[in-house]
Amino acid sequence: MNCERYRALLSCVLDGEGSAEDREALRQHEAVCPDCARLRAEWESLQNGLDSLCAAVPPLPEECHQRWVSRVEEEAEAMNEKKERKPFQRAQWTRALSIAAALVFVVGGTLLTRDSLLQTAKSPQLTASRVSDVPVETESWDDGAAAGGGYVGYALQSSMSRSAPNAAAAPMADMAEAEEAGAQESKIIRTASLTLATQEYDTALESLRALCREMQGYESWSSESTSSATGLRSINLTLRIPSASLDAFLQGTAAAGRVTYRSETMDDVTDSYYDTRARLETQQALMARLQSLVTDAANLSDLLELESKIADTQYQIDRLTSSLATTDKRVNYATVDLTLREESPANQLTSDIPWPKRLQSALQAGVSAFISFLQDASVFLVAALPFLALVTLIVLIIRKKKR
Amino acid sequence: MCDDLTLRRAQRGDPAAFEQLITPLEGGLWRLCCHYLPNRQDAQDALQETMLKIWRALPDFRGQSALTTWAYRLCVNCCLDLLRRQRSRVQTQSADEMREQGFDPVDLSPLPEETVEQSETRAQLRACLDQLNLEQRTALILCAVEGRSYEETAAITGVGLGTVKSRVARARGKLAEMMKHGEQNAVSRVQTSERRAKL
Repeated sequence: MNCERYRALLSCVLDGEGSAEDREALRQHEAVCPDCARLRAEWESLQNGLDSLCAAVPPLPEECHQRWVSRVEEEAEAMNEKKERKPFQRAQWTRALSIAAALVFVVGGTLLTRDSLLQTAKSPQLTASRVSDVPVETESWDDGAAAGGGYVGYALQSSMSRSAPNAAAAPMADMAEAEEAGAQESKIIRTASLTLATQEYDTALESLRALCREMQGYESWSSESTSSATGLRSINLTLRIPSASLDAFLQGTAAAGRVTYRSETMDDVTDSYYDTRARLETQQALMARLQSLVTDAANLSDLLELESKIADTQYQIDRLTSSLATTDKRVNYATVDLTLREESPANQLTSDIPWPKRLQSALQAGVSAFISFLQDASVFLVAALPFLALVTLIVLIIRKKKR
Repeated sequence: MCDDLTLRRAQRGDPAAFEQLITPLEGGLWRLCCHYLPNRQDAQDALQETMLKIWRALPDFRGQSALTTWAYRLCVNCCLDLLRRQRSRVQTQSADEMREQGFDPVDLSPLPEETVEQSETRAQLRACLDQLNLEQRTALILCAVEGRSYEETAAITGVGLGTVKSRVARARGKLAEMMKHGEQNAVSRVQTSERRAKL
């Protein structure tokens, strides 16, 4: 044992921490090292002095004890007052937070259900318009479909229910008036737009085409597409239906699917039609007069001039005849722009789905949303981990300092 | 069981339970304050501050260490804070000036069974003790003066057992050196200030 080690061990022994072996080791070293033996005597004397320091401490004055006791009582009283006030505030906070949580739950839950599950509260047309369609099949036009003409009557389905019968009756009344006035028949061009939604797409399309044929109509244009997002099909059809059968046809389409949109317009072209016919009659009279003059022509130049006039008049007669024929065709055959959309079972109206099935799908959607939320929350927590660690470290340091 | 119940009541804010719980430790804490702070009034202030700190921190006490150890730790911190704040004042003012400002030193007159020589040794020892750095002083006060075990001292000061042993041994060596050689001046200064105080 060296002297350094001796001092450390002696200090321990003087503080009552040394063992019997330590004391023996000290004695052995003292026997060979007189300096350390003297050091022991000094340190033992020092220890006696240190012991006397402890004994010399005066007793605690009674007023000092009373002072801290009364301070503690004051603080306890203040703390109790604070506690009494706190529960009231806490109760208020709890109530407000409960109401807020309930509102968030109800509003959030409703929105979640609406957005992720049913999708039926929204307009079906709006839903359909979201689908990005990709045309995949052919389209074809008939030769006499495009023709101008200002719309004079327009009504959405909501007003159609009131106005349609009147509208159907109106041409009749006009015709009667015309017959009375001068045998003028009303010329009305009818155009209808219709959108149907169905889960039985193929059956519905077939039944619509069959109905068209039954009404002696024909299909003038079609365009079918499939949604790349949902895989659902839709077809746009332009059908020409005899005007007399239009109402029956529109009623028959309801059997093919759910009508989500319907409108009908009526263009009264009576005046322009009879104007055209009058111009035609004038041109025909002019033609008869010109032909009679040809026979009386005196020289070649007169003959050539008459022939030129006859050609112009014939052109006018042909143009007016064609215009009348086109108008007749459009009057006799109404145009129906029909859109048929295939819909998934989830797009059914809420009222169409049985209640247990709605509950089941709601539960499935809820569980799915919950799992999705947990996943998002876990991702968020992982992202926030460094910040949380930093905050925890700061809190721990502050708490340690307080202690 | 009774102590646990008292502790829980004190933690819930019962001042009577707190008094019952802490009064047994009061003597030891008071001695500790006196060892650190030569002025009796300062020692009383330190004790009061210690008690209030214990009271305020008690609800957070989780029993990870003994209550005594925990209370001693708070007391040592209080004393050291007070000492650091007052050190400059003590160093720059004379004993007379301090006395004029209410300095009331701990009585260093001989104890009934003590000789004058012993009393002077104690005064010298006290003066030398104040010359030690705070870490060695704390270790020596807790182990050699208050008789706390090394393990307990390590828990109070928040350092390792080996560090405590080393600090105590070095403090003891330094103190012995100071007592033996060059501290006659310090002793005479203390005795002079004492005599002046008595006059």
